[in-house]
Amino acid sequence: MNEILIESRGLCKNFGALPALQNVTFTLPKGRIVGLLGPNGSGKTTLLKLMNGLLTPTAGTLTIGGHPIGVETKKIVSYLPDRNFLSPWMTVEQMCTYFADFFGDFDRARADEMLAQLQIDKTRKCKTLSKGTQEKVALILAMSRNAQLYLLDEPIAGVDPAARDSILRTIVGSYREDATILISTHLIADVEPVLSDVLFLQYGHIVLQDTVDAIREREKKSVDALFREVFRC
Amino acid sequence: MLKKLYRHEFHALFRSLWPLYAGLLVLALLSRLMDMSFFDRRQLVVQILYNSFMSLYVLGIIAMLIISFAVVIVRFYRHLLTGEGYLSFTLPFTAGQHITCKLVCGVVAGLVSFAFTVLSLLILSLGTGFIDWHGFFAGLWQLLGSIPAWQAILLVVEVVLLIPVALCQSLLMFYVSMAIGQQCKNRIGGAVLAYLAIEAALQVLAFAVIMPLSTQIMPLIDWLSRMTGIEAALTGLSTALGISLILSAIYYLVTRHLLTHKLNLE
Repeated sequence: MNEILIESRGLCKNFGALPALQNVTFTLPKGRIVGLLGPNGSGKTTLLKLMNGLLTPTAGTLTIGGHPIGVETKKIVSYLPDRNFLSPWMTVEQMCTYFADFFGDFDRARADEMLAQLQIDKTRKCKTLSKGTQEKVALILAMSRNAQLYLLDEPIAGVDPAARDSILRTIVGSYREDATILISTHLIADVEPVLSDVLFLQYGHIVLQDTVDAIREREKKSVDALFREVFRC
Repeated sequence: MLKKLYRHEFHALFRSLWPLYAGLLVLALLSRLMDMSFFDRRQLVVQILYNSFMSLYVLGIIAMLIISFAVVIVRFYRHLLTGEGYLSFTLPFTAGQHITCKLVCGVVAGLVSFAFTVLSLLILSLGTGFIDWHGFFAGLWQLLGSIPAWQAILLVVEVVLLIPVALCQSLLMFYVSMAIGQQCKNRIGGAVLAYLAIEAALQVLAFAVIMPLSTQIMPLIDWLSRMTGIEAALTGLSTALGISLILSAIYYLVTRHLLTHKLNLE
């Protein structure tokens, strides 16, 4: 499973004169659960948006599955943004139909099963759901795709600890060995148990890329402890 | 796949428009019923009801045309430029396909709204002299019959084309304004300013084109005076069509560029 899925070479993104990402170079293979870790404003969301084609790079190249970012990569990437993307007037059922219509890899049965597990009423309109339930529905929709790459932007931010566990269970439960999950977060302790690799991002630079096991063995500390050390203010 | 995009777009638009159309038809029907012979129009209650329904009907037409246009604009903004845009722009379509889909569905919604307005007028005038449909069509037929066939065909084609093209231009001007506005911190304020700036630029451009022509006013008058009425109408329609198409193309290309390379979602 060492086949390269994401390849970024000299990737830069500026917002006006402000650099958000500078010369970001890394590769990620298939079959990993990767933590994209960094403090607020380090460029995590910008990197995920570039991978989704929501932003255009200022310089450098970025490919997913060998394709430059575009319609082809959108077919194999499942994205959970840090914003609510649900259409408020649609029911949960209609949102599932919407995903099934546009994503050939959407597994309706899996979505129904996860909705049932979390006791979410499919007939309710999205606007009538609580914020936490909306986030769960969005996660279920994203994780019900048989995508090659899952990009999850702060999936556990803003939810209570009980909901965090449920979200992480959903993520791990949906994991397939031929897919990679990239989780952006600054809540390291919560996600650390499920991660196989980490990418540390600071001021728009990659400052560390390694496996969780290697970090623990080399540093004799958890990823959370290392993160606190690296990003101490 | 693209068919599904259009299907969802039509569903999203018309779920808000069908109730408006139904309301307008009901008002037209009620107004027509109050005008029936079995109601004594000399009775005050009947007069009040008739006038109320007629007033509501006229207001209904105005409201429906404004609301249907607003629904199309708001749909573009919400679906592409707010949180929903995070899903829309990660669907396997290009920004150009999204804009074209929104535009086609918006124009169809505009034409359907117009068709329902005409239908309601038909209901209102059924069996009455409220609108002289026969006289209208007879006059139109007579006009088309009095000019050479190629001119008649060209006139009909130009009028039929101008309606959707002008609608496209109006919608695309809103789209481009919103695409420019999303670059600003205050998106709605930015979009309003962009709209006003485009409008002002068009006025300046029109003035810049007309000014040099004014020095050639005599030859221009001479040229126009040699034309028949229908030739002048055809020239005017062709010019309007050409300008509308050019402006639509510019607005479309700028919107596509901004949504592809300068997307700035909330």
